[in-house]
Amino acid sequence: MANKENEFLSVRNLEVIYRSGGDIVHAVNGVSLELEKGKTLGLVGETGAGKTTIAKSIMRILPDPPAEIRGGEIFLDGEDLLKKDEEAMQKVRGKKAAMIFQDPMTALNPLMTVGDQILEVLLLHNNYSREEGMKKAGEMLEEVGIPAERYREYPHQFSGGMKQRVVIAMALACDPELLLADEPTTALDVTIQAQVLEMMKALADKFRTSMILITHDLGVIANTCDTVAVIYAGRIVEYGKLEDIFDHTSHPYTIGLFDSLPDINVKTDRLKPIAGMPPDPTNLPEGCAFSPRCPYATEECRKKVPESKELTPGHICACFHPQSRS
Amino acid sequence: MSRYVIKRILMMIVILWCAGFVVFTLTYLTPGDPAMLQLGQEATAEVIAQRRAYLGIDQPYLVQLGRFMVNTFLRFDFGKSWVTNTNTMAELLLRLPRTLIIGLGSMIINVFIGTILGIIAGTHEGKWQDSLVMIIAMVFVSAPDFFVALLLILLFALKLGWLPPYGIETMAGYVLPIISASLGGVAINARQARSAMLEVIRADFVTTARAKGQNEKIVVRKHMLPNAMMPIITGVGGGLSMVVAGTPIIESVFSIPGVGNYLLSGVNQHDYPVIWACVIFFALFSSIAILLTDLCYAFLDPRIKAQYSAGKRKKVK
Amino acid sequence: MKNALVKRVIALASASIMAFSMIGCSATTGSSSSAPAAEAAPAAEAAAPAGEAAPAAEAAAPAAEGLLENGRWNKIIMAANQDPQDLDPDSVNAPVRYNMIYAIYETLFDMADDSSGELKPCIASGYEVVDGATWKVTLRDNVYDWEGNNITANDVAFCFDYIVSTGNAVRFDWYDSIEVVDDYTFLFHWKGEPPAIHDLEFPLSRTIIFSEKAWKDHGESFAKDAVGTGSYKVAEFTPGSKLILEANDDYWGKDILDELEPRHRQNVQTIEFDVVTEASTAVVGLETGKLDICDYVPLAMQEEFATGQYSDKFNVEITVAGDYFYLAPNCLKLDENLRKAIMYAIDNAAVAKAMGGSYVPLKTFGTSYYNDYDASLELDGTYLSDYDLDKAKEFLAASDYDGRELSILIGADEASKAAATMVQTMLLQIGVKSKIDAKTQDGVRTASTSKDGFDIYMNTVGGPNMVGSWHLLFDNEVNSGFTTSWVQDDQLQSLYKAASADATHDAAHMRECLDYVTDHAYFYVVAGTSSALVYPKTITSIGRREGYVTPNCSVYQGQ
Repeated sequence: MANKENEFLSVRNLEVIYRSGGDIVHAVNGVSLELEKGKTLGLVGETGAGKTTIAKSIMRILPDPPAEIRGGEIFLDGEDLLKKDEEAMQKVRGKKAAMIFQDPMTALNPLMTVGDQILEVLLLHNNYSREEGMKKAGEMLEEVGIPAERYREYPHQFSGGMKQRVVIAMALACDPELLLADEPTTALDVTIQAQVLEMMKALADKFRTSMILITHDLGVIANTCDTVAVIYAGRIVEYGKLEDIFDHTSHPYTIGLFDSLPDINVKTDRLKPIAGMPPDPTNLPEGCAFSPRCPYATEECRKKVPESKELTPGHICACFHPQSRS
Repeated sequence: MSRYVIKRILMMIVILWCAGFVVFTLTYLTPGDPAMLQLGQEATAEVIAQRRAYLGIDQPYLVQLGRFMVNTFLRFDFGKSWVTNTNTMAELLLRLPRTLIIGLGSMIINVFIGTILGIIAGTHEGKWQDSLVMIIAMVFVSAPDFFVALLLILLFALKLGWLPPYGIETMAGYVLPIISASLGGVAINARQARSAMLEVIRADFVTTARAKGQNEKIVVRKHMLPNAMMPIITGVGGGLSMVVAGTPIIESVFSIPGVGNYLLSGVNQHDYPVIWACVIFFALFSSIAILLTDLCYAFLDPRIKAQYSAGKRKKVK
Repeated sequence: MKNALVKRVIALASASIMAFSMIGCSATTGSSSSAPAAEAAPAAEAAAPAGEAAPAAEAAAPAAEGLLENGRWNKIIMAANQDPQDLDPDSVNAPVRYNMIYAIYETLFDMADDSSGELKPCIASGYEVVDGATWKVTLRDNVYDWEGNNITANDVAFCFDYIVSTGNAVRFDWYDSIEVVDDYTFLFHWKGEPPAIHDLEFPLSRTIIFSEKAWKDHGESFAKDAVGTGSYKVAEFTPGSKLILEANDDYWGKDILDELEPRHRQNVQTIEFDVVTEASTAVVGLETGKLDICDYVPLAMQEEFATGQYSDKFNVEITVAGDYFYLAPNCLKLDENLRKAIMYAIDNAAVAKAMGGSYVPLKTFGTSYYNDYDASLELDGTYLSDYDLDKAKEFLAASDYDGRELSILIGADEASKAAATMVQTMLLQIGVKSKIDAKTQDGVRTASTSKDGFDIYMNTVGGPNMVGSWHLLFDNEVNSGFTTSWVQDDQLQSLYKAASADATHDAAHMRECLDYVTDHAYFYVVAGTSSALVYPKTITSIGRREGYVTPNCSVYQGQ
């Protein structure tokens, strides 16, 4: 089924496992989400929830022996990416969809100049000559605030923040329609974080790029996203517009997340974490994955996997006992 | 960068001095009288004393040491062999090409084959190619080289008659020695290359390259290999410094008059000038090999080049 | 995890299978059932019974390889066990190169190969005893080296001074100095009247004479260029690899070859020595035709040349070396019963086997190599031939052995260590404890010449003949009144002297001496070495000099 109108990206029932020494890790368990053109979707969840796996599945760059896409469909601009062969996907990557990774320190090839690395993606998807490509690469550097003269420098000559900018330049060089940003600012210090996010948002607006921003930081979500998906144990537990999630928080897990944020106005002795530990992905609980930790859990929760309910148009919650918090 | 090279060369000279001092002192301290050993059981004390005077070993330690250091490092003269009366340096230089041919030849083969095997194993980790390559490598490294040498002689010289069983009359005589000497090294290089590849395969920048839409072959060639080279070059560097020293057994089996044989005969006969010459020569060769390896690193990895040029201990970010 | 274990097991199994199949299809050439040997046979047989083409081919080959017009055989290639390293006439590693050195260089006289001590003139034409300690020697005037230098008395003086000044003058005990009289005459000054010709062996017949001018001209490369007066000259020399000698057509003695010692003969035009240190490689060399003669073929591999597939091209002679490995008990510390206990407990066949493939157990103090050897000297019925643990234990019970650890003194070479380890194990069987004390050569010398230096001492001995080899064993002059085994026995001394004196040097006296030794368990003999000499049928008679095969004085087909 193709996208609905305005729906640029549509993920349906994605299921991904990892094989690890005889065990099966259920990383993504039936995730569905949509993204409109030009909008930003935030994927929120703890480490290991499956966010990166979803992004890498869209790009189809999961490491093949351990990882396996078991089911689902991913429609990008009308085409199912999961049905494409490798050669076709290579045309998509970098051109139609680009990805930015978490750790800028290791994301760049230490033995190539930064300019050449941007050049590589330019030459892959365009018919430029080498000189033209180099010129364009220089322009991209300027675009992210790095002087074009630094084309010939090596990654180790840049600070963390600047490296991340190079990575962004690389990702945006061919004008992708979809940008997947996997925790792009997590490894940076707070002051740089703001800068980089600003820049990303500005560029996305400028080029009308649709973006999926993966993060565990609710503050970042608040600043940049239009829609939000909350992921727990490989499933989307709550999904909706920014206001829906922040002002009408519904799923107990999301509530727990917000509660654990320290409030600068309230004086407390202890933080309020969510009790318990995330489940073992090789051995997920029978019913709702959050039930062992949920203060509102009932027998039903432990036995059956909750379906997604649409609370208000566009606001979905997968819970038998959705709450309403403001 | 050139300052770095000069500094290294100076260090090399110091190392050679130390090597000379150590080897001289060790032979001096070795129990046993070379003159007595050379002249046999029936020589009288008088004759032995005469020979010791002729060899210069009746002088006190410091005098001998001084003479040795001056001769070796100022005049590049290791003196005459105590057993054969031929000039040690001349003999060494004469034998050197033969050992180099075997050593370098076998090193090139085992680096080449080992690296290719290792890359295949690494890029197909867990699959049958990986296991097969590792088994081959293990078999090669377990078979002792003289055993393999004899088998090869039986096969190629006796049964097929393609190659001579010994000697270096023709270049064909080098083929079997090179093959026998190279097998063990294949395993080591294959292992190195394999783990280097595995490390690199998991690297983030490789994922980045794939995310750009680059095809896999070019990812391997442009992104993985250059970064995997470093450990491989380390292995090559180590192999290179062993090239000169590593072949006495092969030389013995194939009757190749090389440096390994020379050192062996020197040790057996307490022919100290031969031992000094060979050891210092090995030290020289090793130092040069290591210097070349380090320069190779700088050439390949700009981070290291920066480190050298800065001249200080700059941590690589 | 299970996966990894399974992988490891499979890898190990495959590796073992591959290793075993490699061993299985390797041929120890000479073993009766070896595949490659069987497959090489068709190749060789194809040459022979493949019809009449074979005899024609054989006839064609010797023309290139056979008798030349000048009566000499064309070429012979001989394997050399060790690297000669250089051809310096005074260099210390002489025994390695007897058959090479003495083809190139010559001495004043040649001493006959038997023990008669007869001197045959070579470069010198004769000598005259002026008085006890002075000899006048005359040289031939027509001796030239192959660069055309004439040898004069001055050259002789130069050679002697050189050998003395470099400290290489071994066994020059009687030599004092040399005095030149004229171009072809000089005087030897001895340190007194030499008792026997044998004492002058080294100055007279083992000091090589070469031209002083040639020596100075070639300087440091003399050891490689080897300018000598001999019947052969060096055509090519690669130390460690190959030496090629060519018959010298201008040899000064070429017309008087019959007057000179046979070792100067020129029966071959070209002799090539190939250095092949590994015996199995040499065997392959023989099989592939790269080598003609090899005198160190291990006994285990000689069968195929003697009676096997190569026997139509080769002859085999089993040669026994003169040197043998003996055991000397310290008779001051071990009483006779203990000595007999030890000797009956040792099985010298087993020890020989442990020492290596070329060692064979002996039953007397010498081998058939020596010219005074006789079958009647085989000591059957003694501890040398009998290995009897019960008898050993009886003797042990009757001895003063107090249970202490005996020390076994040996040199630090592999064969000695193997022998000592076997002996140690055998002694343990009767309850005698021992420890092995391996030392370097001069350590051995010091320890063996001190009364407390050892309980048991094992070493090799040899000599010009059998009784000659007994000097180091039975003669009590070795340790100032004591023998090597610390025996002070006048009866032994007189028996030994009788056996070695020229007048009574016969089997009966030798046997008497040996019986006395074994009655008192003064010594034990372990093993001698033996190897196979393989040579082509084109040699009709092997020439030897001091036991070493010399190709140039062997006789070839058609000569």
